[in-house]
Amino acid sequence: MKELDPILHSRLRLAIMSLLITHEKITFPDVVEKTEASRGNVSVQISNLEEAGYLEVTKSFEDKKPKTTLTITQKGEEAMKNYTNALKDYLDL
Amino acid sequence: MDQEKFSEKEALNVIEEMVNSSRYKLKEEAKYFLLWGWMVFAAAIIQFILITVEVNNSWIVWPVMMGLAFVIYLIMVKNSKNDDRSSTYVDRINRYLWLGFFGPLLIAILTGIFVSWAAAYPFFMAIYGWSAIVSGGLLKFKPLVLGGIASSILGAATIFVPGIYILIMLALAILVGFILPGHALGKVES
Repeated sequence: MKELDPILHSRLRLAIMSLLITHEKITFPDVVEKTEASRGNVSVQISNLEEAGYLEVTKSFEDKKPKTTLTITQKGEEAMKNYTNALKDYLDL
Repeated sequence: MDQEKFSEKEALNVIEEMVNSSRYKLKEEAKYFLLWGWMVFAAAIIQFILITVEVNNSWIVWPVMMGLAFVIYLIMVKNSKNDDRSSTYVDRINRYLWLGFFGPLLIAILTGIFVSWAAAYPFFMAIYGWSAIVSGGLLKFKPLVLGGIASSILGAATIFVPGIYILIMLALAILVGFILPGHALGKVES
């Protein structure tokens, strides 16, 4: 049986990556709203995922306010594919 | 990295919950459907009235109304700042579908100008209908699919409709294909 990726096998990191699967880009406030987690926790988990090379963070300014946008990387897509395949094995789907 | 553990079943639920939370911008879409829908509807009805009361050059209503609609559309797009927000893959496909719609639309307009408007109108209705069916399918919004089918059927029926009544058929097609689904779309949350 395949091992579940420890980077993805965390509630919040998995939630963030699942959002990125359906979005070509997603803003930081949208991630906070959809995951219902604290801004600080979301920020830490985004950094972890970025460090793993699973997502890319783009920072810009809009009306003089900082704006953070996330996009999934090819490595992130692969990781999610492998994770869901492993999950199917575990759950015998 | 945090050491939080949770079950495989819970992991599946998290994925499902997040994927389902990806709202497609239905309300955002609705305002564009309503803008173009009402402008085309109004232009068709106004031209019908102008022809009935024997006003010359009634066709002028089309460039005026469509030009106005285009200016309003550009203002709405600029104000929505859509490109700066989160965007799903469905949003992107839908955007390109309507962008691609302008090609056949241009051919239909040229057919009207250089061949015959009677030949162009059914084609207009068919391409409106086709785009509404695809868009409705992408947004998982059945009224738009049904409106698109109705618009296509009305387009086919228009081939057999005489004279200026073609304009009434066009107005009817826009009403069922765009305006009614557009109002319903605006009331949907996600």
